[in-house]
Amino acid sequence: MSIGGLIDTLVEGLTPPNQPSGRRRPVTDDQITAVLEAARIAPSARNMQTWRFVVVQEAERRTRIAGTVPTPLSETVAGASAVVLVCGVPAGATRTRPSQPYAMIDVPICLSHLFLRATELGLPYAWTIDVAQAPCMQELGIPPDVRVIAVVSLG
Amino acid sequence: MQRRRSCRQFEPDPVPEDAMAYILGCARRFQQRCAFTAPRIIAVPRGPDFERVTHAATRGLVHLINPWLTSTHASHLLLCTTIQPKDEAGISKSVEQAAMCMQVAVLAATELGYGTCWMAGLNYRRVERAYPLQDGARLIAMSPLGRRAANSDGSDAVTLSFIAHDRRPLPELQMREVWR
Repeated sequence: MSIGGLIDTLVEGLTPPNQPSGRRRPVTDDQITAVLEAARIAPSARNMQTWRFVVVQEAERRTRIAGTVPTPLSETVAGASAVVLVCGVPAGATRTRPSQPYAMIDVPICLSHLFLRATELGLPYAWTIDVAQAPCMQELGIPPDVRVIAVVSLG
Repeated sequence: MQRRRSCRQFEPDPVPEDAMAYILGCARRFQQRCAFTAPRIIAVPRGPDFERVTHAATRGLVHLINPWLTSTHASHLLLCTTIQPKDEAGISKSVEQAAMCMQVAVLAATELGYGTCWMAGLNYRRVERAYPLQDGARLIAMSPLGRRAANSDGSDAVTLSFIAHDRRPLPELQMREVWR
């Protein structure tokens, strides 16, 4: 499918209300790997690949992660087959300008790959970049110099 | 996504208007679908503005990072810009949204066979002075856009010397349930 075609179908994945529970379905490990592989090959500054992915599938942990995202998405995250936390790690030369670390640009680039691949695979998904950092990092033991850029629910 | 490679050498022929409309249209539709209000992806065709931006972008020590830009034959520059709020969280979101929209434009260009190259090592202040952005937008990054040079993989030896070549395998990037 063309990029234009993928974008025209994106809306179904982007809005939680368009994901009634009847549309949810389990995602396989192969499907998770496929979307993360698409994210992995994204370009990054000096190829530093400042992204890391934490895949959460345990139900109780998903529920706690759900509490760190805004209400419209929290139910989707709690009921998802898998939740991917897309994180940015510090790198050598860490920023392009004072308010703009490389990870702030590079990780969203890899996110766009992830969405387009999930759309191509027909996977139900929803996401947000509005994440309560502290509780989310505490839940998963994420180091303080890492930032959770997005929470993506799959299935 | 698999076909995209950074390109630093271009043929001088212009990218046709219908191709530009498709590239920018993809970015704009993605932005609309995501309800992003901050990003602005701008195409600057060859001409005086193009020259001003490329020269401003590489003024100072930053010239060492992308020395090829001032002599590029690219047809356009894609500017990734965004309207930034005052608060830190809002700034982060606006940058993140703009980067996603820009990458959609990059992928659309790749789909049509054109070359691009993300550039974030720029003299931002000089560019914003030389090419004032509307609505107080801030420059986030830019990319040349054009037809890849024939008989070249589009790369540039000087720049490539700064870049790590290997991709990390997925197991090095992915964790299960908790950070390890």
